[in-house]
Amino acid sequence: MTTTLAAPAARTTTVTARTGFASMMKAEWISLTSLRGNTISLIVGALLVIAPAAGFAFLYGKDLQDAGGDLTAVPWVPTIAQLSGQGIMFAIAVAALVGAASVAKEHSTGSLRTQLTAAPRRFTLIAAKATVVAATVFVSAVVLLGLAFLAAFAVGSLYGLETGIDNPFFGLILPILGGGVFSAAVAVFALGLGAMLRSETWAVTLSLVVLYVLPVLIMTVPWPWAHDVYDALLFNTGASIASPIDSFTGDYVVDLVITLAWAGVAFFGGAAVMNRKDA
Amino acid sequence: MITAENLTKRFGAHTAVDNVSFVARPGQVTGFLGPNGAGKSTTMRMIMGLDRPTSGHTTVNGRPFASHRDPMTQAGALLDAKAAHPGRRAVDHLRLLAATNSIPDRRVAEVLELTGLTDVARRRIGGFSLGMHQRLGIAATMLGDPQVLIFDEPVNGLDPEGVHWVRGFARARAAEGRTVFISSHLMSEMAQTADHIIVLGKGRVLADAPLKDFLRAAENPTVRVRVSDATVLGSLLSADGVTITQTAADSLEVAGMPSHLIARTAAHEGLELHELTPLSVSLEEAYLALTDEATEYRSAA
Repeated sequence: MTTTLAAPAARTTTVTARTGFASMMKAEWISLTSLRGNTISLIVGALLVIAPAAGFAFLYGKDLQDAGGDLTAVPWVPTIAQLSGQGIMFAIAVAALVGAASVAKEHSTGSLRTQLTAAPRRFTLIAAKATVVAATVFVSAVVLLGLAFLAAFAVGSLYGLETGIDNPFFGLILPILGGGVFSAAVAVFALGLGAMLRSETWAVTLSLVVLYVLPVLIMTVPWPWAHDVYDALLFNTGASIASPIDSFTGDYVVDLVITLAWAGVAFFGGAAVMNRKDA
Repeated sequence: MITAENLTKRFGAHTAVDNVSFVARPGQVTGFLGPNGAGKSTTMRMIMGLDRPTSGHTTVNGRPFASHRDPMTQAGALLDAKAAHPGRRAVDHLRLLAATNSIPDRRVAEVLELTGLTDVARRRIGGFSLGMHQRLGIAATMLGDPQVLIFDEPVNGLDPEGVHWVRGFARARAAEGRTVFISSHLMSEMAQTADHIIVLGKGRVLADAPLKDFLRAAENPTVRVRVSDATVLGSLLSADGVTITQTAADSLEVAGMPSHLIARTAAHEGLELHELTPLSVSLEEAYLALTDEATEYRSAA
């Protein structure tokens, strides 16, 4: 039997409240920026993206300088654009840490439950979290890759490396934007795993296994389809969109779509688990 | 107002909450009492939408909590005082929660003041004592100045000053017209805070009554009487509301009549009284008797 109970006259509240996607985004921004761990991640990420670009520019430049500036006397010298993208493999590792922690750490500390008592719509919460994490990681990665280019350019100029770029859009700007998309996709992928596994440790471990270990394992498999699978792995599709190209091709679009699909599948998997399970 | 209707929650084969129905009304502190494992926290989590009921449903101010567009003005819940990121500053924890409901930062300053945490607002939560955690949790519940307050064991582990503060806080909020719903496993605690008590044991509602009914039961104890002729005295004491049990040829247990009236009746009839002992039952004993069969975890001793 269902009984309908009339609510008695309520007291007047002094506070106006309204929850929605925009307010949740603001809350997630506070959540992300109020933790020292994320600031440290940004600093470490900056070092790991900028230092390899400058370091490799120094090594190749020194090699060329020692050869008297004769390009034919050294085996190979990468372009400045190629040097500036050296740190992307570290950027995605940091992105995985930030993405996994944004859900799994908040869950393990109980903070996520407290947040759900204030704003109980779970999909809105995880969607806002993914949006803020993705946007922050994208902007951070683009800025850091830009700084990495400037560092490689400055060091390369000192040692006489060729610093000209034939096509600045396809050779520099698009790879930097692609690096940003790759990093953001990895962050959302790890966030989705964090929501599914509810463990920061396991989410980070699995993310790194998918990124770095799975390609090696797949390459050792003798079957012919392994090569196709290898091409569709997150690290490879992401690295493709973060590399200089000559022009837009169908392969580029496919790599972009697959990179985003890895993030999308993990995100919706995490959202489904979050929606179904008790908090 | 909080309502629960035929609420059931099963975890596998274990039934944590079993067909529970109750109402917690505005202007009152409703005590939610029961031994550990009785299902109090699970019920509170279902009210706030954290756990999904196996069957039945709950409402907060007439609607399921998750369907409100302004959840923080409808209800504030302190379910686990430690449920906050230890690396976050107290003020940021509150700003984050306030932002979820578009509540301005000035309200954060107000609730910090209300709970006496202004001086430690910029400290990281990981360094907080249990009492400070409880105050921070209560501050968070007040961000939306809500109609309904839900506190799960809010005095656990607090020092006497903290306990006194929480009691006063709950009473004051109920006096403002809010619904205050507090769980505890201590009857003595509820006796000092609640207006109405719901007793839960093994997931079921064992009692649901105003506190004064519990107090009345404790204040009118059964009296053991040993007398020269128990049968005669028993017939003389018979009246509405009086329960008489003859336990031996010279002995009765009389419930519902004070000792001095029993003594006067015996004296009037010339009966010789050998014993007149009130079998006093404290509020705590009444509660223990009620929940005795429904205690989930008990010591062997």
